Amino acid sequence: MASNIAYTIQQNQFGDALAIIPSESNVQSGSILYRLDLEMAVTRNDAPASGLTIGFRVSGVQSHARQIGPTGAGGKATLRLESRIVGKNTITPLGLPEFADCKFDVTLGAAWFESPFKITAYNCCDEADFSGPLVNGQNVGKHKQDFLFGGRGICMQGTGRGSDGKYITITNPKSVSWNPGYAGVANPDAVIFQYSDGVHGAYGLVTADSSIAIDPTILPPRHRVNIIGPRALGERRGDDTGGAIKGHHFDHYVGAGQAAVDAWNAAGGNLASAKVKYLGS
Amino acid sequence: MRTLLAVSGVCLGLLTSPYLRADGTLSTEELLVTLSQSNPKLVQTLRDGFDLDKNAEGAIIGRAVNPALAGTRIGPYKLHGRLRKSQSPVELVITLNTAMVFSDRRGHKTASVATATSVTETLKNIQIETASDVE
Repeated sequence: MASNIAYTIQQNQFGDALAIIPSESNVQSGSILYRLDLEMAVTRNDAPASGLTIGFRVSGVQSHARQIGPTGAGGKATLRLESRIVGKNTITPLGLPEFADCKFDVTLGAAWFESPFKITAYNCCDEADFSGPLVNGQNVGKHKQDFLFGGRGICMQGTGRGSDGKYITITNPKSVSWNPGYAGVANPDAVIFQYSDGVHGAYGLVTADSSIAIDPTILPPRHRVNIIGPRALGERRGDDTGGAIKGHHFDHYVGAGQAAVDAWNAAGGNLASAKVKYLGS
Repeated sequence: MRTLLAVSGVCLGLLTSPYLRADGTLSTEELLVTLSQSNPKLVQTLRDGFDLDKNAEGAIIGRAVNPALAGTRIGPYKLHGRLRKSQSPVELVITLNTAMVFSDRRGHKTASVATATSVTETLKNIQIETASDVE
């Protein structure tokens, strides 16, 4: 007379068997929280076992599985796995020796964010978009005044691309004093610039149409996602962040200048509710 | 030659667009909700008079300048839209000019964006141009 637990991964609301990253969950110790529901069918003496509640343990200290309600008339119940462990998670029944061998291995990797994301876009300023006289910037020579010192230029944005294609960044933003209205710097002689190898995000260089700014409590830094729809953007990596990027919001880096933003808008612009798949590190 | 459109309650002059560059996009609806707190009549004029695109653009504060405020959109903002009651709608660029105040952790106005902990904006006026004159 055999006893057994058969496990089947339930289909999620996205129509497949991947785990879900719950809306209310946050990144902890650099890991997202996976939630995966399984159907468990319990038999005892070759018959469905109803009214049964079984405890489980899961390999890994950041993981647990719990049965949601006792088994029904068919011996079935939902088993909910919650884990931060990428890769194999082994679920093992506890307490009832007859089920001790009824283990189940689940491999966690890609997953769906339960919550949709807002997707906006940002660029870095491009000297080609500016006008005005050429003035000297410390360490970088002559450039358009507003590009260096204007309220839309490097002193506000941090980094810009010069007309020679070189990236310029400000090194001492705390020394900058702004005129009333913040349209221009009051003390340009105090500003020190330097050339840069690109636009540096919080976690590395940002690349057009590849990097996104993220809330690190939602997506771990440098981890990858696939932005599926309603307009597919494809694979992106969390290379940047900022205090204004909160919650389920990605700010998509489009490159330098107005043309990059125009291209973003021409392709459909912001997404208010994007479906996002987590891909991992 | 620039085309000027008169809108009730909106002061217009011969325009030189301050907005040839856009740095970050945002939702038009979210922007109008925010700006209506400082100037509800002007925002309502926009809502009543124009069909506005869903995306707006604004300046942006960079991480290298102020990590705590990085990604924040600030004015002037640019919207695209069309005059609602026009029989032959013309594509318009609408610039929302704001007055900004950066404040430090004690809530005092500061001339240093890098050390500010917050920024507040007040919608001051709007400028309207035909898109063909701007872009």
